Amino acid sequence: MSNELLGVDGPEWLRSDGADSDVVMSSRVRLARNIAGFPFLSKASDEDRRQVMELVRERVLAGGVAENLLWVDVTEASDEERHLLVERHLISRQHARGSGARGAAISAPDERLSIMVNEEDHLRIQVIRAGLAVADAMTQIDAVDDAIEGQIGYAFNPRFGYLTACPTNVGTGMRVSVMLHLPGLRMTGEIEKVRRAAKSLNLAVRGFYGEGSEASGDLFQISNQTTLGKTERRIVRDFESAILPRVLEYERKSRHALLTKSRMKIVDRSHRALGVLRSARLMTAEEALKLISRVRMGVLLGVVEGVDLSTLNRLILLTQPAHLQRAVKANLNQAERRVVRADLCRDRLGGE
Amino acid sequence: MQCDQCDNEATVHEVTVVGGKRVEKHLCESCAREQGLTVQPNEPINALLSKFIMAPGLVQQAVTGGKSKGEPQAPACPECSMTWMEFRKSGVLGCAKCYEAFESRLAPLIERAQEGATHHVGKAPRGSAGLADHQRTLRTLRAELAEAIASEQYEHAAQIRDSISDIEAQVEQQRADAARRVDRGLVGPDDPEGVTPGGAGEDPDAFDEFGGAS
Ligand SMILES: [Zn+2]
Ligand SMILES: [Zn+2]
Repeated sequence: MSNELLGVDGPEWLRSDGADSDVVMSSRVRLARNIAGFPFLSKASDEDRRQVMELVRERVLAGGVAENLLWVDVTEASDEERHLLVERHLISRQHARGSGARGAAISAPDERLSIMVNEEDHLRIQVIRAGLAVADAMTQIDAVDDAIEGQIGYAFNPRFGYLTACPTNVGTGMRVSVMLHLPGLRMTGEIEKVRRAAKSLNLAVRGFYGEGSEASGDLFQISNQTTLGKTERRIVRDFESAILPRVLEYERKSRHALLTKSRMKIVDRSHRALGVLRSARLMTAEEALKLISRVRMGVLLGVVEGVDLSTLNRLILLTQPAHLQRAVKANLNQAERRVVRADLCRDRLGGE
Repeated sequence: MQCDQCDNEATVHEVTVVGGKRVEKHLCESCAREQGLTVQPNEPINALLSKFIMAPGLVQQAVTGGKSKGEPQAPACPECSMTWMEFRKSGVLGCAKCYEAFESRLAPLIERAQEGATHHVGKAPRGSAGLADHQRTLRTLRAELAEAIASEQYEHAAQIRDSISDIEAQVEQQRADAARRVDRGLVGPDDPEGVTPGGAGEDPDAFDEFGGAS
């Protein structure tokens, strides 16, 4: 895989200088599109899949859709490379595990834009940005979508809009999501209220790695479910105003309430976490995420000094299995990964 | 909010549209379970829908309004040969034409998954209808070409190759024309005809108020 991709600095969405980045890690907009004249993937022959790949490679990469798009042939990629892409949220697990001709176009080096080819739909276009930037992400993806549409005709119907393999995605084909860091609400136990409120507003709440994944390290993903009957702008506006301002406010209030009521407990908790990260010799991914989350909260509340947010954000990614393997350039079993993960945490956080 | 059936807090909320009327249900976990409405927390809508599709009684109800049981089998999609049963098992459709072939059965499912919405009102492709036709033809020709080469019918293959390059030239022309129209401002966000072949322009400023909004 090209060296331009997957740089060690990590994707741009891990930066810590986005809007409201104390709570919102990243914002993402995704569009599902199918190419007119080809059957959807459940009925596509090998030849169809190949033709779709060719068409996209030829028209999208050469067509001025975005600067510096790199092509990854997911079929040819190694297991480790596919996992790296999943950990960086550039392709889905489903795409990594899939079979048959499939690929992805990724913008380098920022990794803001990625276009999965032959996933559940012919095209899954995604833009990810750091912090709360749903509207910006949507402006960008709209331009990309227009540029692709100038090159390739989409499957569209006046009643149902953009036609998708799964009928739950029809209409705009657009999903909007944010990744939230909610240690305060988790500690006060109010996270369940957020879940319920989100559910009643027809929003989905998931873990760090999307569908089916547990929320770990106090990271939660909230996304819209409704894709039909609203304009794209309305979807974004509703999404941004429905629940986010309150979640942000409650999270900040909980953090400060915790600090006021039980200052020493919070100070102890974050320093204890930092202590373990700086000295442990064995570390599971789960534990790393949990500890990083605690330190992050301490840094944001000003009770931990000398650790910067971008280091912590990057650690979240770098402690994932495929990233560890790449760092040491070797295949690792689970036990070995725990050693390497602990080494990495000590190294990045100035432990001994 | 209180449960419709008892004094507990309602945690399961469902809105359905029956005969054009909105029906709301607010139930606690246990009453919801009794009514077969309960869902896993955070269950993604796809999983919900596929459950719904899998439950034959519900589909019947959605399709027939719960009246008749002996509904005739819908014919398969003429384009990809997907059957309704196949869709019910997999939860994914076979091609764009499936939406027309199964429109009356899909509509209530989609409405239910989409908070009662029935029609698209967002952006629409502009000026690519012709591209779609060419793509369809090219797809068929390329498949024929592969077959001709495999069966060593080289003369036939050469003919197909010629047709392919003719169509490709047309496509090229069309894309260039489309680009020129956009450059000259003939097609753009301000031109309702250009933007909305599907009559979807109810929100004319749908896409252009974003600059620096966040
Ligand atoms: Zn009840
Ligand atoms: Zn079909």
